[in-house]
Formats: sequence, C-alpha cells, structure tokens
Amino acid sequence: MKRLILATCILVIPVIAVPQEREFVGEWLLWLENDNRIGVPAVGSLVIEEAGDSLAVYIDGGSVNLLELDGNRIRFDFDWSDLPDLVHLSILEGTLQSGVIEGRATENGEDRGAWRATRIPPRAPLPPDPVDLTGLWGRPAILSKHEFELTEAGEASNATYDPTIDDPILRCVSDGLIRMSHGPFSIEVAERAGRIIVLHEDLHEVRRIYLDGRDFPEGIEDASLAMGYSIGRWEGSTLVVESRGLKRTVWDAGGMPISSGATVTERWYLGDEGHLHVEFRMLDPVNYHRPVEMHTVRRKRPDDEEIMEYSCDPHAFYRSLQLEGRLDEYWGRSGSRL
Amino acid sequence: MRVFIPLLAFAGMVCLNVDLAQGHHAISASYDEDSLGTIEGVVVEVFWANPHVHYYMEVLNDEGATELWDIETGNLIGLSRTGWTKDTIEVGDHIRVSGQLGRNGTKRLNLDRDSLEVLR
Repeated sequence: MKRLILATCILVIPVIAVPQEREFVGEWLLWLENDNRIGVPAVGSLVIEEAGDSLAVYIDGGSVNLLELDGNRIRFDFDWSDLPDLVHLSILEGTLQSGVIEGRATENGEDRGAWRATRIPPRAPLPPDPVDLTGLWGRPAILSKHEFELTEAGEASNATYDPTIDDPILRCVSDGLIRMSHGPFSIEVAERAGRIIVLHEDLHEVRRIYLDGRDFPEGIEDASLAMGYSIGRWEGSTLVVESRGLKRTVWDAGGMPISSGATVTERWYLGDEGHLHVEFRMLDPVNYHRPVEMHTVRRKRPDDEEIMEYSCDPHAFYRSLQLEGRLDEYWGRSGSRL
Repeated sequence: MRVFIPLLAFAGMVCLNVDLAQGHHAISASYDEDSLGTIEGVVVEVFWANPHVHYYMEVLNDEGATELWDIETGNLIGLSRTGWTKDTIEVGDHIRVSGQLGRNGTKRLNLDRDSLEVLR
C-alpha cells in the first residue's frame, strides 16, 4: 500500500505543483545579487498585477516590460541607471517554485548575477520594540530603477529640466531627502531623547526624526524644506517615518520631478545580515500615477571610521557657464530654479 | 604647450579612472561617454573644492590660438581616498590629460586620473 501511495505522489505531484501564471500575482521583495551601482546585493519591490489576459510588472513602482510568461517561468526587462547616470537594460529570467521566483539577470547576453523574489508577508500591528540604529553606515546599494510613469504635469516638468543648469547640487543647494538618501555617500545615525538625528556626509546635511509623539506643524505643506519635517514611530523593531513639507526638486541628477506636495514614508530596520535597510515610498500624485519606491541597503562601518565634511563652493558652476556663454541662459531660468 | 589632440571614441568607460561619485551629478549630460580626447597645456587656475575639483588649463589649438579648457574631476572626499591631493596638479604645471569630452563641442574634459602626465 505504501508503495502505491508513493507511486501516486510521484505521478501526481509534478502535475498539480506546476504554478499557474496567475500565481505570480502579488507583492514581492526583489533581491539582486549585483546592485548595478557599487556591485553589492540590493533589494527593492516587485509588484505583479493582473492586466487583462496578461500580467503587468512593476519594479519599485515603475513599470517594466513583461517579455515572456510560460507556466512557472517569467522573463521581464529592467531599466536602471548607473552612477554616471547612464541607462542600462537588464533581462531578468526566473522560475517560480515553492513560493520563490529565482533566476539570473543578464545584460546584452552577459551574466549580471542571480536574482530572486519572495512574497512580502502581510504586516500585522506590532507593539513598539525599538532597536539600535545608531552608528556609521556606508554608501547605499539600490536597484536604481530609471523610468517611472509620469502624469501630464510630471512630463511637462521633466521636459523643462536641464541637468546641466537646473541641478541644485551644481549650486551647492541641497537636493533633498530622496536624493540625499540614495547618493553615494555615508550617513551617521545618532539618537537622543525623543529624536533620531541623521548626519549626511553629502553636503553635511542634517535631518531630525521626532519620536516624541508630536504631530506635523500647522502649514507644513508650504515649508519648502530640503529634508522635510519627519516624525517617526516604532512598529515592532521597524522605525516608520513620515515626512512632509518637502521642497520642489528632482529624484536624481537626470531629473524626475518631486512636487512640494509629495509625502514620503520610510521603514527603517536592520536586516538579518545586520545591514541598515530603508524602504522609501513617495506619494506624489502631481507627477506620478503610482507611488514611487526605493530601498537602500547600507553596511555598518567601524566605529573608528570618520564621516567627512563636505563643504561646497559653486564657483566652478558659474565659471563653466561663463566659459560656455550660458550665464544669461541661467539668469533667464529663474522660474525653474530648484 | 601642445595642441589639443582629438581622439578616438570607444564605448564604455570601464578603463577610465573617472570618479563614480560624480554620478551624483548628471555627468552624462555634460560629457559624451563615447568621445574621448587628450589635451596638453599649462594649468592657470585650480579650484580645489566640492562639489567637484576643476583645473583650468590653457591649450594651443590647431590654429595656434590659446583656448581655456575646464578639466573636471571628483569631490574632495573621493579624491582623498585615492591619494589625489592639492599638490598633485598645481598652477603653472604643464600637463597632458585624457578623458571624456564635453558635449556639443564645449571645451570641457571629465578627467581620467590615470592619464595624468606632469611635464613640468
């Protein structure tokens, strides 16, 4: 009898275990062996939705092209930008087995490492269980998704942005919470009663996250703050931070607008490997059809390592404009100044 | 001094020691990654500060006229980690350098730091 049951299982299990294509639908945590920027693993969000007879695939809130879907196999592309802001297109091909999608990434036929996606479990309400996030954390790994679906207003704003003249960092002006958080610089996290203080190496920007239960100040929407006004709370051992009052700026040097009405939710936690993970979710319906996401992973640096000062002088920016005869163009673009 | 040597174009910048931290800025908007060049001349000004260090250099063109070129490299934090100091290139130095050329014919060069030859 046991032999009969075993034989039946062998015959039947492979048939019923083959996942249907709709089993890809859901929210996944995407892990890439090569973060494409500094060459370490990075994570982000992978959302697969039903779209008519097919599926729609999103990475960090931006759509990518589904190239093939066959039983438990999936293949899609992934546009991303590297540190010098050049755009690349990788192909991710994988197989869904036992609730995990796993495969290899390639670019122009060359292997770019392994990738996998695991389902994001539903979040249950948890009592506060703070952990120590303080210390010096190195440059972040990110997936660096390149394109997101802009609204008509977002397209118009992006079309007028000239990175050689409008980029605020060229004038030593803070480029804001989002870009400060994914730029190639370290951060130092300190804590004192009721607040967490984040010291950015980039432009030696400072940020305070209030944990004392306060609400946003009245009129915060018009504050036009580079780093926003941030309040946080602990959900289990995850620090959840809400930020408002951001100034109008761009997602990165290449553009992608952020309006002054944008709000950002972050989830700070320590991964099993001890790295600092921060999930960003930006809501900016003025410019984007969907929330835009980003997930940074930073490794802990030794306590005796120092974060360096980054003072800044815009002299060379104006000198370049003068050499290229573009100073009048610059003064004429006051309306688009970020 | 020596004249600007227009050079080759080849894809990619994998062999160039340009500062990746410059990716914080839209380097690709200002420089053509497929257009590399070498220039030779005398440094007339050093801008040693963030966001990026710049060297201004007088170069003789093919017509014998002097042109002022803007040589750009990384930020002070990145440079300090590679041993590149304020003394590496000084005003009055006669140097030859290579890198990505500016777009639209601008007289700019994104410095490949491995290419530096100080001829002083």
